[in-house]
Formats: sequence, structure tokens, C-alpha cells
Amino acid sequence: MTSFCNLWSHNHTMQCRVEGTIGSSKQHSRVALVCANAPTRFWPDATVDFTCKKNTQAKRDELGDLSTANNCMQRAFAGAYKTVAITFGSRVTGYLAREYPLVKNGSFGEGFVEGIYLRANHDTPCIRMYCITSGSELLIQDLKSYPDEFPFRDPSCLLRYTPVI
Amino acid sequence: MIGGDMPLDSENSRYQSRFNENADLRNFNDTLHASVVTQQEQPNTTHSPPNTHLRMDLANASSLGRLPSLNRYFLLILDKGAEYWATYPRKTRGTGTPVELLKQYITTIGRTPRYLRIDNSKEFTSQEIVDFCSENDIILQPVVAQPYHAVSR
Repeated sequence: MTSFCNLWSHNHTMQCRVEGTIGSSKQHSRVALVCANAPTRFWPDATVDFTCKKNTQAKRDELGDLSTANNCMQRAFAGAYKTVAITFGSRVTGYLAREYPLVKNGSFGEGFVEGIYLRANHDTPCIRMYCITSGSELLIQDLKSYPDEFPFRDPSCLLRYTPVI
Repeated sequence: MIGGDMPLDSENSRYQSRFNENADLRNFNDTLHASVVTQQEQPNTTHSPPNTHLRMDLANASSLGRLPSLNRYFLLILDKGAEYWATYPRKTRGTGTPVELLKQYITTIGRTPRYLRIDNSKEFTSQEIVDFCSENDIILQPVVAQPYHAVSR
């Protein structure tokens, strides 16, 4: 049985939490895009990345327990700072597995990828990165991050030549 | 007559009578003090327990990036008690019903909420979401704007 509870919005604060949350998400994702000089087509990743970062903030209460938001996350990955605490749009490098379709010759050099950090994956201890060479999104676990280098702001930080970013 | 010269028995009896008169007040103060101590010993808790009060709304993100092939909207689910946010970018308002995303959220969290507060947009007032809430014993709280009251919007 569904119970309807019509809340007459006698003031403007009935939906203030979610409306304020939306505004905060937009502001932070916009700032992340501007700071990384990333194209606007990455705004969904910037929004989800900010949400993930906010949820992963370790707020310990007086008893030393993590916040309830941490309990809502997947227990195995809650507080995985290795994949979450990376600046959006910063340069990351990684290695693909030899069995990956992009690795043609099976050599070590073919598996090297570099791009920008998009966001942490929800279900696995991996990150989503935008590979500049192939122009596609990849799921990388073995990664190395460079939080001070932004390829879309300064392409000279890339190891490999990229004619068009 | 100086107070210190008062016989000790009479003064004790006077204080005893006052003590008995204010017995109710003392009991009230003891109870209040006990409740204050109990509240201080308890950890800081939010007004609503986690995973019970959800707020859901659809946001237009055209100001962030507006291309035909892009996601233009995102659905935001907010847990009031836990302050846990979840965002689901979507291309259009009709792509992926809120029920599917709500099921995905519940699967991730592992618990069904008790209250779900939404606005009166078409996506949230469909029969599908009503059926889903009735099956899972969720109380819908659609916020209705009060007519002739500009602030209520």
C-alpha cells in the first residue's frame, strides 16, 4: 500500500537540500572543468567525480567511526584514496593487460597509456581515464598519477606526441 | 541577631523544610541533569537515521556542456541522514526512468528507504514509480507548491 503524504510547501525550504546539492554539484564540476581546461563534454565525469570525492571524505565522529556516508558506499572500496584522491583532469599513466584488444603486438610498450583522470569506478578498484592517443575511455587499475600536470592545459607534459588533443 | 549565632538544630530544621518543599524541583533538576549527561555521552546523531529519508530531483546541466550527443541532465539522489549523494547523468529527461536508477541506487546501498521526497514533475509522478513504492513500502512525499504564494515555489 502506497501512502501519499502531500507536503504543502509552505516555504521554499521543502526541497532545499536537494536543490542546494544540485547547485553545489554544478559549481564544483564547473570549477573542475575550468581548472583542468577540459572540454565541456567531460562534465558528467566531473560531476560524478565530485560526488565520489565528497562521499569518500573521511569524517570521523567522536567515537572514531567513519561517517555514515562511508557506510553507504561499497565496503571494499570505501575510502580508497588511491583511486579517488586524484585531481580531475590531471595526467595519469597506466599499463593495459597483454590480453587487452588495444595491445596488438603484446609488447610492453603497446600497453602503455596516458591520459587524464576522469573518475573512480564505483564497482571496482579502478579509475576511468581518457586516453588521449586512442580518444577513448579506459578502465585502469595499475596507474600512476601526476596531480600537478594537466594535459589539456599544458600538452608538453605528455610523453607521447599527440597531434590533436 | 547574627546568623552564626542561630542554634544549629533550628537552622537544620529550616533547611530541611526547604529541602522537602523543593523536592519536586530537585527531582526535576536531577532528571534534567541526567538527560543532559546522557545526551552528552551519546554520539552526535543526525535528525534522521541513514538510508531512510531520500530526496530525488532531476537537474538540467545545459550550462555545463550543451551538445546534442551529450548528457544534458542528471538525476541526483540525496540521503538526508547520511549526506550521501549519487548522481546519474542522462541524455534526456525520459532516458532511463527514475525507477531504474532508484533500483540501481538501492542495490548499491543495500537498503530500501522509508521516505522518498520528490517534486511534482512528470517523471516522478508516473504510475510506475507509484507501483514501485507500493511494492517496497516506501512513503512518497511529493512536494506541492501552494497556489498564490510565490515563495512556495
